[in-house]
Amino acid sequence: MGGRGFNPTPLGEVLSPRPAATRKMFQWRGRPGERKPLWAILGEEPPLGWQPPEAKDVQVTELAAKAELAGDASAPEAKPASERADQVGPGIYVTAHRIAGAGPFHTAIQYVPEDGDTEWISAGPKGGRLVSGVGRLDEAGRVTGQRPIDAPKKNDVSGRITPPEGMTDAEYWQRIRALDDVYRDKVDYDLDPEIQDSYNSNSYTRGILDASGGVSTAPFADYVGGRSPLPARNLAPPHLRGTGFPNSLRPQQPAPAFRRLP
Amino acid sequence: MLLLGGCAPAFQVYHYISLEDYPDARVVERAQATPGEHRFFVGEIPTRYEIDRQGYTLIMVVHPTNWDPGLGVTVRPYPERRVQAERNPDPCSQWSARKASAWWVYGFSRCDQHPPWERVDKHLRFQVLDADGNVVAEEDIPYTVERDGFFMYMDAL
Repeated sequence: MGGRGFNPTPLGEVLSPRPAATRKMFQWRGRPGERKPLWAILGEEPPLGWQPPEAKDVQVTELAAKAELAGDASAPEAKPASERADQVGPGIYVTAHRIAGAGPFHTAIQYVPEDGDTEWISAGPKGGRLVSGVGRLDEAGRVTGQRPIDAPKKNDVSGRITPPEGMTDAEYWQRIRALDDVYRDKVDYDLDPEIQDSYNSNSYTRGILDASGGVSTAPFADYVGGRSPLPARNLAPPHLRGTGFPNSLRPQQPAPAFRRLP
Repeated sequence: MLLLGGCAPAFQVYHYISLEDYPDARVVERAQATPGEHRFFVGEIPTRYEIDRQGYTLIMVVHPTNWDPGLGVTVRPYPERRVQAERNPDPCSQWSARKASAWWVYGFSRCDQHPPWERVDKHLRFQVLDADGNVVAEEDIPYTVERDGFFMYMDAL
């Protein structure tokens, strides 16, 4: 055997020269007014399984717009423009505020009865769990119960909620309250359910709406977690829905000690 | 912090409406204000005033747990006398009331043009009606917005 060693042809002579590796960035193109998702803000690729806003949300908005053009008063109302939650008339609404004034939107559900205390339901993180609560505004203007951060003065209306057919606002609110009562705050909290495996406050709002059969004109697809509703299995089983369980308004803090003056 | 935990600590200066400078208003109750989750330098505030007029008494209540400046107004005797107000007299304030309620609620927050402490025209303007809806009196009560410490809460997604 000769002494010829292995002498391969250099790859550079076989392969055509490659351009320098460049990372193809995914460019976010939202519709006008559409909220930029977290992954786009961070300059990341969309998470696996990410989809554009749900057809249902788009459909409700389009239906509302068409109905408004046609003058159909019975159809779901289109989103009011920056309507304050403390200035709306009787009805059930999705209300929202931006976290710390400039962050993403946090939502709540608010019920303004014909006669009686205004109430709202929302959820937030506490000890790693997604904890819900009910707040109340009485006729003299006193805020009680939980979640004072979602009191009507703090939020704007982002959509009107239409109860299931044949159900009044009052009956529907009782159904929502019953679902909230059965929810035991056992679900883990995650900031962004679209890239994590649990739920946030907007998931709770959307989940309780879906489970109760209501339809909202609020743009949930624009809210972090709005496309990932809390699954109905975490809320009341069907045979308990609409039974109007009393919701104990657990006081958030001891009542102040009033001192009567002479 | 918001990205890591879903929470952002928010601070709010505590404001409340005071009628202490109005000589006709008598403070009949005081209480420790308890807005928010954690409070700093927030003290005791007047929570109930009474203003005696010819034929009726105005009662004004400041809720010490509320986060935003406002008060509830009612009149005694009710329903022989009742209160009525214009709902949005200016961009900084609003009145609201339920149907057939003895109370009207005056709210002062969310003033888009001026922060509460800069607003000059601070008057509670409303009417007192009799049982038939006739105007018995036009009230125009000056008030101040006082600052008293601040409080913190967690704003979370």
